[in-house]
Amino acid sequence: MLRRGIRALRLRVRLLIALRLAVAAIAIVSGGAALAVLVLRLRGMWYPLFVPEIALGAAVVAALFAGLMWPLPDRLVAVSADRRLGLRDRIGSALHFIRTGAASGMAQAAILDALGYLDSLRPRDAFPVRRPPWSTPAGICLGALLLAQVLPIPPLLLSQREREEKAELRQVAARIEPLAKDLEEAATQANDEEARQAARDLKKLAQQLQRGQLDKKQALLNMAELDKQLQRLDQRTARPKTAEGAAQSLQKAQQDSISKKAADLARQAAERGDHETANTLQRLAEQAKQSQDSRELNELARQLNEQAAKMGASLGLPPDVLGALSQSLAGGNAELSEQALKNLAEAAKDWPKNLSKEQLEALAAELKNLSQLLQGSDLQELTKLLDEASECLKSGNCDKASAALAKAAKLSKAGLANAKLAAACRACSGALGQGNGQPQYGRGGPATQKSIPPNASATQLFAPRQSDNPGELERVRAQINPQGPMMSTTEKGAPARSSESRVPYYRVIDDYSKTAEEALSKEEVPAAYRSTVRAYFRALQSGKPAMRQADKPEKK
Amino acid sequence: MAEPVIETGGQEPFSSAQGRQAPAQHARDQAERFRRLVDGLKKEVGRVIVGMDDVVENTLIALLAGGHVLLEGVPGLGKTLLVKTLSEALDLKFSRVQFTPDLMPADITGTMVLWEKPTGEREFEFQAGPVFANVVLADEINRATPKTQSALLEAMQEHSVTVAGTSRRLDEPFLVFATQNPIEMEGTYPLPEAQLDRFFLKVLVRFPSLGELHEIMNRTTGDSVPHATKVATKDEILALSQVARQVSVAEHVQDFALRLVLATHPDAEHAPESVRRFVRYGSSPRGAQALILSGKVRALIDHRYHVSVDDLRASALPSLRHRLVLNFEGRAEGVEPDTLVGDAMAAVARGEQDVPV
Repeated sequence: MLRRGIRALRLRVRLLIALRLAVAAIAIVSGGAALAVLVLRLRGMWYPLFVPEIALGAAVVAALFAGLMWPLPDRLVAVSADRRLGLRDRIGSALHFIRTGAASGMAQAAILDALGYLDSLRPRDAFPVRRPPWSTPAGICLGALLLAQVLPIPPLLLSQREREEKAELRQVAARIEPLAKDLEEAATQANDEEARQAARDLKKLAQQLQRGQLDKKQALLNMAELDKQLQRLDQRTARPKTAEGAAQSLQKAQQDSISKKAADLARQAAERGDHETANTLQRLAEQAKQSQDSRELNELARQLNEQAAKMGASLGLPPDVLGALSQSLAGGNAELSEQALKNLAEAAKDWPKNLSKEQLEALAAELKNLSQLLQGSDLQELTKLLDEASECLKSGNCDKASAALAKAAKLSKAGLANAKLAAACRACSGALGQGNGQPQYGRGGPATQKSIPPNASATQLFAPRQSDNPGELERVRAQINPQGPMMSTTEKGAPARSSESRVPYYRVIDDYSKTAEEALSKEEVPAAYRSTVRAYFRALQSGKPAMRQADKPEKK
Repeated sequence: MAEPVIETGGQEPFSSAQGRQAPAQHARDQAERFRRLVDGLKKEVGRVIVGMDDVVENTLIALLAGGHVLLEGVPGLGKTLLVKTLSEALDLKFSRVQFTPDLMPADITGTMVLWEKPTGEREFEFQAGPVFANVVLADEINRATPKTQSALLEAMQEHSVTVAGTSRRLDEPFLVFATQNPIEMEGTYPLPEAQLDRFFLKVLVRFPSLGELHEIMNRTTGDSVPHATKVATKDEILALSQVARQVSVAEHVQDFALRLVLATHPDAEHAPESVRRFVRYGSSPRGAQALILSGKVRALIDHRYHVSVDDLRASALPSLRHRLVLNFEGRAEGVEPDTLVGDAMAAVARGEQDVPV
């Protein structure tokens, strides 16, 4: 019973020791980690984000374990309990007498006396929980660690160059933020979770850049990562051709059709001697050529129909229902395009009654034309259905054509949303590309031979302009002359021919650097030039300015 | 309360059913008798002596431990009365010796006296001196010559007296209460340190307070003077002294006592700075004996059957203050031995292990 009591006391003491050690560990580890994080951030060095927290957790666990395994002899626990409870060495003496087997009456009486006290003893009475001595420093150091990780470094502690970099990154954030919102909207419309995640990541990046939480290197890494994400989305959802382009082509075709037919009718009226009608038709033809608005074209088509009806001629022009469709496609308006297709599907049921065979054929030709214009765009499904509707109209099956158009109406919304998403991805990718450049050297544009003197020191690459035509991404691989040793000279200066890169700098630098390293490790580069090659790629990676004032290109 | 089972670390468990409670009960009974005697004594002494509770208690402790006491205090504080009252309460033979510079050893121990018988024959007969009593009060022991002092001190140590080649055993219990006057040091022969060591306790008798003085006047200037009545016999005292010796001491408690004694030595590892600076020699092992024995008596008085560290702390000053030999610097600085004993206790307490919570 005595031993049981002492075991309970010992467990209590060990728990309290574990608590003290854990608090001390928190103070020491979080203090050291806060200092280390601060130094790393001031030096702009990268560190794994959760390592301080993991180290802290490990230290606490180790401290708890050490506390629970703390060596505590029975005698020490008993004597300490006696002292704290004012028992005047009852328990400690009783333990000693039991251990030594003291058989005297007094010893036995002392043991019984101690057991009487132990019966009513609670371990927490002897060893109450007190605030550990390191608790205040632990709180301060923990707070310091969290602040060191979360708060941006005050501008006072930054160098001039770092402050300029932060300002540039804030400008990039200002460009990215609205694009991220657009991307999120487009992703919601397209119901694309991956795109939504990309939009959220982009927003978060913009926030971090705005708050100055990232240094330039970290920002570039994050932007490169996001750009890869956006490229994946782009490739998944986008086609080179957009519905907007198709709509524009359709509008052009409609313009040509109306003006040509108006001109023909004007000639027929003039041959009949109806000059007034001929003039009206001529004016219509002129207006159609110049018109950019599909609503205006629809109105012109209606006027042309009226004139043709007066003259008793058949135009074979379809009713202007296609105008609403092309208009909504041009505006990327999913609801309108859906409604336009639905209207077409409804009207198609009455076409056998309302339209002649020639008109039906003309309408089929227009639908075919529209589907051809949409070929290769984001609206593949819509294109197929328009094709199907066209074939049905040609064969005179208006009901099937109506069904195809109704199906197209359902798909058009999703298709347009995808197109919008693709456009948003491209816009964001473009913004990231600009942000990854080196704006302090100019706003894009390659160096030209004129601006760099022949004996100038090595010129830093510029970030190229974002190309309108993205083209296909090409991987450039460094190669050694397969025929054996090659002549080499050291040249410092601009290349003999200037050319415009179509690939953003930050997309190729990793590959170039990796290939260079491989070449260096395989000793494919002459020994005398290895250090030069390394220094070159290191300079490209670090983004440090290496250009003198005289070497900067003239602004266009 | 149900009697608990005591596990004895591998030995057969102890339980009342097996009759092993008998020794404990016997011890309890003896302890109870002891306490009753002490309470009775205190009460009887309290009827005559006003205040001086710690002096009375220390004196009783020394009596029950079988040790001699050195009482130090200015004249007129009731030191003699205290000792006399104790002897009356215990029905012990009391003698008082006033030490003067011309006192001879034979005046203490007794001497052979030539005596003529009625038949006319002459022979030497031993005339016992005042030392042949149970309680001897040696007043102002520091006034007698060292030779006379040593005669008493030999009796204190050996509990026997040798006169003319014959040793004569002194009756037990034999207790010496010596007094010293701290203000009259001129023309005195302070006891050498080796002799001081023979005293079990040194008790300082302080001047009474105003309230105590009032009570003293009331008691001693009235028409009746209180006397103590007999509480116990000398055989009972002897028996209870044996009971006190049976009180058990745990190892860590004894360790405290020994470390305290060691801490009074200037070359000891854990001696405090003041001891290193002012003490020439520390306490002898007799100091440790005094600590332990005093602790045992205190434990019984406190209703315990084991000695605790608190008992040793309470006994430290009376047991050790007279055993420290100060060096020149200590004497010149006027350092009090009590201060040094206190520092030694603090040093030992700092070195005590405790759980780190």
